[in-house]
Amino acid sequence: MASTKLGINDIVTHSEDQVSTEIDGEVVLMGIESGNYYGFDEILSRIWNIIETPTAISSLIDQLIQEYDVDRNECETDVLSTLNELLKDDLISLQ
Amino acid sequence: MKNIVWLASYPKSGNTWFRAFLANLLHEKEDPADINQLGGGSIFSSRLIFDNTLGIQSSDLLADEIDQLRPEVYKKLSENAIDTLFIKAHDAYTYLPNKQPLFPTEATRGAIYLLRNPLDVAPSFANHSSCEIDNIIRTMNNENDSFCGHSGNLANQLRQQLRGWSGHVESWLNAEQIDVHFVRYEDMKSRPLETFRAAIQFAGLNHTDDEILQALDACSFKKLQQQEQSNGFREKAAKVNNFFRKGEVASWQDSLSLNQAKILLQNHSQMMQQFNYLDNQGNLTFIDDIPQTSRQPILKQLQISQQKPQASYQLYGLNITFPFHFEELIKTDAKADVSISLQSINCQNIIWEEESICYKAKQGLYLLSIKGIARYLIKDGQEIIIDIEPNADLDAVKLMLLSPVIGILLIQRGLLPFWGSSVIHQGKAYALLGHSSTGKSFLAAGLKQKGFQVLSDNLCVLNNNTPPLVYPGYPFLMLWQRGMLRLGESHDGLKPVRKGLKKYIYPLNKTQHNKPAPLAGVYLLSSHNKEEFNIEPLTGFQNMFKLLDFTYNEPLIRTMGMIKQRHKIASITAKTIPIKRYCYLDNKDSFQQSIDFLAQDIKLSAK
Repeated sequence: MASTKLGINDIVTHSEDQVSTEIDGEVVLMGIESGNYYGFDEILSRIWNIIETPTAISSLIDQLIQEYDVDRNECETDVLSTLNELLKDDLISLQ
Repeated sequence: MKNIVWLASYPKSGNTWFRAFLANLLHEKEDPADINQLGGGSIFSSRLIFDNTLGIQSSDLLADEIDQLRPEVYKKLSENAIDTLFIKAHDAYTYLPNKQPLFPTEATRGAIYLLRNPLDVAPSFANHSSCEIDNIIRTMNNENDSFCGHSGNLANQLRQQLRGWSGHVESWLNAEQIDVHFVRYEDMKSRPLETFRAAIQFAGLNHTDDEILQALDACSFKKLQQQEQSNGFREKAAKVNNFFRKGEVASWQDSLSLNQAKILLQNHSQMMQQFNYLDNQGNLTFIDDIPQTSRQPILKQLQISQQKPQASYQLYGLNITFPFHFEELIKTDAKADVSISLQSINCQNIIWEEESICYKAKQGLYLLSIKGIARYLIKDGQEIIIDIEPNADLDAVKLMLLSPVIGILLIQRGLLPFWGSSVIHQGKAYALLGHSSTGKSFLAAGLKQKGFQVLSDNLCVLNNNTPPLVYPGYPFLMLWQRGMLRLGESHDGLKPVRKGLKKYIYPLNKTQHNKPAPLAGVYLLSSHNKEEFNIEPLTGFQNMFKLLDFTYNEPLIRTMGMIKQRHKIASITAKTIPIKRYCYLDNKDSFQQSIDFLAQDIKLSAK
């Protein structure tokens, strides 16, 4: 599971192995097993909110392009690498 | 594992310079390393490292008890380290009562001992301590001298025995169990490449001459001084203007009188000759504890209390039955939630999930062992069993019970204790969170003088309401003699928290002290060397991260199965309560102003 590489057709959502909370618009996350804490910036916090319900990565990207001034290719690369990191730390799960 | 290299020295002998060099050598970037993030950044005497590793508060222990635990702390750090650990130390090489060295041999790869002509140490040390050179000379001549050894207040470092300049050098010269590499400050100045190369080779590091020269350049005195001027330096003593002063060899001639130089020469000629500061004819070659406390037998004290019925007291919203009287607490007749008893503890068959130096833990069960005092077994948030050592001081037993023991019980009950005190203003609670020695009790006392009511000292205990409720602690403050003097309070007639500590039980009004109050503000105390005090709000996830620094350690709370509860209470707090960093100035001229400033901020935020 940790080595899976995500593609834009995959559907992701929050995993069970984390608890998160939002403070002044920034998301703070704790991995329950690891005890590690994560602080998210504005965009990552937005992504986190969108994937609260299971969401296809392609529609997540569509949503971000509408909200932020960003190039589709760039957005896709960044989102996939970020989500892969989150998956590696078991913070999100693959549906 | 033998992986610690001690960077040992008498103060002001080039230790910081050496660590700046190491930081630059091990730091892979082009720009000079930040002087506030030096390698070997942890000092052997750090109170914070000690407290965090052991999970107990060193401020409640006597200096000799702490010394017995210090080797264990460093063995633990050594076990957890992947690489060579460089640790700065100003302690002399001494032995504990059990004949073991203070510096644990089994964790030590070796020591680099830095020394400097005592005639140059004296003016530099005087500047560092903002005191007269004559006083420093007396210190350097005093074989019983120690650093941070006054029991009248609490410093951020543990007591370190220095034993005078000669005594210090000699102790390391006679350190038989470990390899010691001696480095003279004067050689670091005059022959830097050879001197530093030999030292790092001794430590087992391999670097090219170019790398060594580059690191030396980045930590030249000029650069360290420039950095200090623009950013400040956290290791500087609070009163002094500049830490990186001259860095010159034989600058003593401008600062010492002839008589002062003579006194130093008379007292230190032997060690000065040993290290070639004096030749055989005695000419200069460079022209340039706390007393053991008398403990009353515990049995006698206990017999007195056992003749009387058990007594119940209120603490953190609980009714607790005690096996001895604790007159300073608030009595209650209500049904007990928790009972404390005296029994012998036998835990041999228990499989622990976590074992540390002083404690063992698993879900619902925690065992704390403090040598010379007692063992405490805490069960399911309901019961505490105390197994007291035969000659222990009952006051010490009570002190450990108040923290950390009751704190652990509260965690088992789903509450979250923070290290801090709390005060009440207009029915709402304001928390002052800080580690040992950051002045949380002192500030609470200062606020009390300005009309605030103190709700708790040392532990600030929150539940999971929104906003969280803060529970009333014991109805007294534990204040160091020095702090009381500063506040103009007398310790006449007050009882010390235990024999041997000049920390006193300062009673609060018991009748005001029975209701929890909703939390309305959190101040994180930070002590620093800047010449000003300020209050700065934190935002976003920083709120949460900083807040968690002040709870009991994370692995322990996890083992106890309370990690989600900790997260929940901390996030409610971070989300709903303003959290501010409060930098306060600890000097006798302006501390009142900084307390006023805090009082003002609490009153304004209440509006």
